[in-house]
Amino acid sequence: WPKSETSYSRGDDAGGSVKKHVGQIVLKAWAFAGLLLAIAVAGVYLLRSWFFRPLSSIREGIEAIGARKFATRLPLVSNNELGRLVAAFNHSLETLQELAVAGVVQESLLSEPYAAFGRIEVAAHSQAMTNLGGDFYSLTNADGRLLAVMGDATGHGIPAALSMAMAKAIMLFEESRGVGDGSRIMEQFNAVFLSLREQGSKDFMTVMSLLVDGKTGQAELINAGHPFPLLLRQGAAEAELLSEVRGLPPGFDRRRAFAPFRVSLQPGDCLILFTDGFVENIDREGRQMGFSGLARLVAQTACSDLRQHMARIFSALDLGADQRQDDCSMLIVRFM
Amino acid sequence: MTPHRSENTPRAAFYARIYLAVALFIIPVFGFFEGLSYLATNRREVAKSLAGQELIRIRNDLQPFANEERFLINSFTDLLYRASSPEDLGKMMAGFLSNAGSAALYAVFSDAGVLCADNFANATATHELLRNSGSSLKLIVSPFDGVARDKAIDNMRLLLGRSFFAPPFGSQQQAIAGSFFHADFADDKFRVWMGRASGLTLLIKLPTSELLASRGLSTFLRQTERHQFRFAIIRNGRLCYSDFPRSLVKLAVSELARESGKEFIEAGDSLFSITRIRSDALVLVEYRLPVEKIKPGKMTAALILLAGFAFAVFLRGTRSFRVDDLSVFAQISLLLIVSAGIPLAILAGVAVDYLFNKESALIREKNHQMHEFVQTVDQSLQGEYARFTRNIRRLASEECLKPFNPVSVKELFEKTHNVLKPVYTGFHMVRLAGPGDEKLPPGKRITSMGRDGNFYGSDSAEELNVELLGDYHLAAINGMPSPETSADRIYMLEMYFQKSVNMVLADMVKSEGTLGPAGWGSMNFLLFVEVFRRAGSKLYDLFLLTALDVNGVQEKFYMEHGAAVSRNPYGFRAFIARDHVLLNDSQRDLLHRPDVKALFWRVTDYPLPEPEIVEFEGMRHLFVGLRGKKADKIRFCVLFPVENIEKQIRQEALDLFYLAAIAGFLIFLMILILHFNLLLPIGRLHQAAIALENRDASFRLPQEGSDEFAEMAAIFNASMNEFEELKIASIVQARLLPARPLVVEGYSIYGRSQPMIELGGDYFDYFLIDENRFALLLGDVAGHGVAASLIMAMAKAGVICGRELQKDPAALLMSLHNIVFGIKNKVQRKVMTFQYLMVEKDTGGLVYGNAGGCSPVMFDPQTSKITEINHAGAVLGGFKKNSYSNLQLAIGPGQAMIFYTDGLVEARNEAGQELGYDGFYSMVADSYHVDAARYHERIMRAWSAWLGSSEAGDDLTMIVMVRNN
Repeated sequence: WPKSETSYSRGDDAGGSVKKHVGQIVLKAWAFAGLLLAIAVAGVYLLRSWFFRPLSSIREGIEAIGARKFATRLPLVSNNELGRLVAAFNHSLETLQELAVAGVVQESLLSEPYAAFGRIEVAAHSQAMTNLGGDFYSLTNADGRLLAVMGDATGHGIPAALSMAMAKAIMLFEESRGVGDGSRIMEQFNAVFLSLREQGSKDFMTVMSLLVDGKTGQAELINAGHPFPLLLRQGAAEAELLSEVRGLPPGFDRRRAFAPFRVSLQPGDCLILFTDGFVENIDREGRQMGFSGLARLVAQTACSDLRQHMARIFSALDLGADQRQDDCSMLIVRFM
Repeated sequence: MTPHRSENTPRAAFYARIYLAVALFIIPVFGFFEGLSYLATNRREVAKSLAGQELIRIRNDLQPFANEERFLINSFTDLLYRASSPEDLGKMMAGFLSNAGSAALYAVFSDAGVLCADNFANATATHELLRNSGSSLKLIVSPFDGVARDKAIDNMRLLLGRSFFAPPFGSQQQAIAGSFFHADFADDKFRVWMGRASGLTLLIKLPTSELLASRGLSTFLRQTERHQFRFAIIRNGRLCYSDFPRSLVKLAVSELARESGKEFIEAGDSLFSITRIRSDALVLVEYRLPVEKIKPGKMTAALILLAGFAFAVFLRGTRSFRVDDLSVFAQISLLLIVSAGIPLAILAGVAVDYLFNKESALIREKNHQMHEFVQTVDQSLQGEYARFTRNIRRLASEECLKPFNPVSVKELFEKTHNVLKPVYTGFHMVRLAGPGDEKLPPGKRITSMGRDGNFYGSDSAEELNVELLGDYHLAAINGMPSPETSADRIYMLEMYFQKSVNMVLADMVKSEGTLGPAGWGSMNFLLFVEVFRRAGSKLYDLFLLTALDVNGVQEKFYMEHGAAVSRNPYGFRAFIARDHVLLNDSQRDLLHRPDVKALFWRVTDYPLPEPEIVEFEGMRHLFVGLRGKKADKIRFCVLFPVENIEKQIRQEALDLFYLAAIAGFLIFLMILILHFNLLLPIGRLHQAAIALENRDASFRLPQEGSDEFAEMAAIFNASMNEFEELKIASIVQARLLPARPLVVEGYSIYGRSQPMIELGGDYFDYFLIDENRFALLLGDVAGHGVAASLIMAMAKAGVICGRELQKDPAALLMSLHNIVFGIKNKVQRKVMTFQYLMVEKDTGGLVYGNAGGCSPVMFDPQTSKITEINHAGAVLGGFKKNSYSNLQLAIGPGQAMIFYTDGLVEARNEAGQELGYDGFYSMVADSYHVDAARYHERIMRAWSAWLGSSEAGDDLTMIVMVRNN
């Protein structure tokens, strides 16, 4: 810094003082740089603790959701906007975890997917669109007879899952009392959904029951609003649609009598129950599968192993599907 | 969600905190203090430097006033020029003299020589003389020299004094005497001054004693404003005037005497300087330094106090303050202040200081440049001398060396006259006798030419002197003995030079061949001496002496080159003057330019230690006024407008400002980028988080871009979809509960369920069984959420299915147990409590079954007694083999029965206390009402009041039944 000199300093002294002055300036510059560095380090520290900690915490949350690890909870590092975001993430994780748990519970409401007794072999499969599906099936061995029930709750998600849970409750109730026949089951469905409709519920369910005698192959079908079943005769090129099997869904008619439709199964014949997700399925070309498409598909994929038959049908469905609009479930009974 | 803190060890956190405190508080405070004290020191230095300049200025201003003779002459000249008529001048003179208390006599004459005003004694012989002296005076005050003027001077002697003499004046129009003339050497009572301008002639007769007065000084002291300057005058070692205490004067004088090398002494808040105004008088000047307003220590302490106070107020406002909890915007602002604000502030301080110092440095630099400029202009005279030398030598060597004859000599002299015409005073050749000289008149060895270009007619004294010098010089050069000369002639020569003939000769030999100044008594000459050897001669036989008029040479040179000096590339205003004549300006006489004349009063012989700043043409100018070293008759004044320096500073400040503006713009850009890429998305996400907290399921975030924030928005929206589904599901679930209260004659029944989140696990119901019976039931699935709601729905379906068992609570419970237990899930095993009450309307008989539910209470308002109805039973789905039994009870008129879930009794208030059964029972007892709905409402109100601001931790369901009379 230029300094005003009011007196002339002596020559030999001047050199030394200039050198000293320069040294001081250099020292000051270093000190200034050091201080700036110290402040910058402090800034980085603050940046890390203020932004990067919460942000990395949120990032963990995103990754946890991606990896479906819903049990993860994020640490709450601050109490500002970012802290609230973390809290919201935890909330989301909680909801997702709950839905995942509900999914597990719901899955346990379905019967074992395969059973064989007497001359009957039966397989069922359900594929839900979301965590929670509205499709329902139940397989019960009632003294050598197979009681199979298939249901499809309207809508999807949690409301459908609630209907489906009630269907399971009906089945459990009846099982505990000792299963009578299909009409008894259907009466209970009717009673339950009638009661719900009276309480203002708009959700309902289509149900079909099937009772097959393990020895004779005599089958009794009762339909309540469900899609017509398919009958695949041994070696037939196309399954037969049993369009006579019809009826209103449960809860719409208080005084309805459930009269069964009887069909006699020959060895090798299959009776196929399914939900409307199949017929409404639209493939890549935009064609709806429809009843006839499904009838052909069922015949084409027929094979000796029932479970493999089921797997083929579902894989064909997957291949052709552009987007699945509804839950798809199927139940096949074969008489041998 | 419990808040987690980072897992830093407390020790590391402590060190980090100390570091932050040092880096973000102590360093800036220290920097603030350092900056302020630096600024204060600098301001002090600058103030001292300015004070030094001011002292120099005041000392220079003082000079014309300190010399009484100069002061008087200046005053008279001023009056002479200001006067519009002789009478006016007379009046002004009378005023001036009476003001000054002077006894001087004056007389004013008109252009025609008529006496117009005077204060000489009236009607005396002297006055008569005065009246008649107009024409004589007019002749004296003129440039003409001659017999008539000598006669006029003689005439005036009667009036003014017998020794009166005045040399010829400079010009016809303006004639101002430069000094007072002696009137009488023997009896030195009066001095005389005269001047003439614009047709007026002024004559002054001043008592000699008044020249020793200090009127000029007192006038100066009167004129100078005194709030910053104070003076003390010391004459003959005695303090004769002082503005400040004697002790201070003594101290300053002794300090200045001790440190003789210093121009200034700092004492207290003042700067002192001393200057000698006369041989017997000193003036001590004090400049009071301005009071420093910046006090670093106090200001830093104030800042710390202020910051501490603000921080304390802030801390009081917020209960527990953590920087982490500040809003993101506040954090970013804080970060910007720390990482950009503090360094920028320091840099700005340095820049301001730089500019501040730059001005004084530039002024110093300019001052130095001006000094060098003056020196260069002064030195350029040497070139002119060299040119003269070359010209003279060329002429001499061309012409002198030819064999001598009158024609060639005449030619040479003519040529010389043409070359040197305006400036030479004498051109002399002295020659020894040589071959070819016979034709010259014998004995005549010197040829001389005078100023007018004519040969000297007769043997003048000057010619004789030069001849003698030539003889001596040639003899010395040739190594021959000096010629014999008469003592008279040597005496004459020594008289002329005022030194011995040997010294004169030595000087001449030494400076032979160069043009140099030579003292010719009171007159100054430039002397050029050279000896030659003519053809055929073995000895130096020709002596050439040229005397040039030093004033003429210098004046001529600067007149010719003055314009070039004025047009210098540095932008300096330059004035060059000899005596009163401006050489580089069309205004030839300084009398027409009083402002420039005032500048020339400031001219010094040596450079000043501090730059001097003067007011000129209404502007502040840096000023250097020096007398020439080479051109010793010439005075130089160089000016440079301070404005230009300030302009340069302003330009630099502007450049710095642009830089600062760019830096500001960059920061602004950074803020914008932060705003759009960080703050805005965070703000939006924050909105979403608030929406989620408020359970507003309709909120959706815009999903744009592909960064983390877009990803987060997508997750948020997906989460919101799920959430919305939950909302819808909660409506669906609500429809599983009774929509209307059960209306039974003789009973008031009300039940309500309030899930903690959208979906709950509580289930209650009531319905008529037949005309005389109705049922109440209450179930509670462990946990809540979707999974619980599924079990709850199953229970509902089970109750409907078991309509044949509605009269037997134990059987119904068993069926429900089978349903819940039938869920074959092992991972998420769910259990449910359930209670069922069948009421016989007419008798008030009750049949009660319980599966692990909270025991309902019976309240009798008559006795205010609360009875718990304890009836053991395992929860639904608990164990494989469960059995349930019925309990027979009765409810009396007015009595109430209340079913509730454990969420009510297990609730904790703000203080963390659990309500407990007793607390709940007292609420039940206090809130009794015959209407079940009102009763329910009153209990819930009491419960909410107890809970305060904390939230329910579980689903809450309660059924109230009151039997009316």
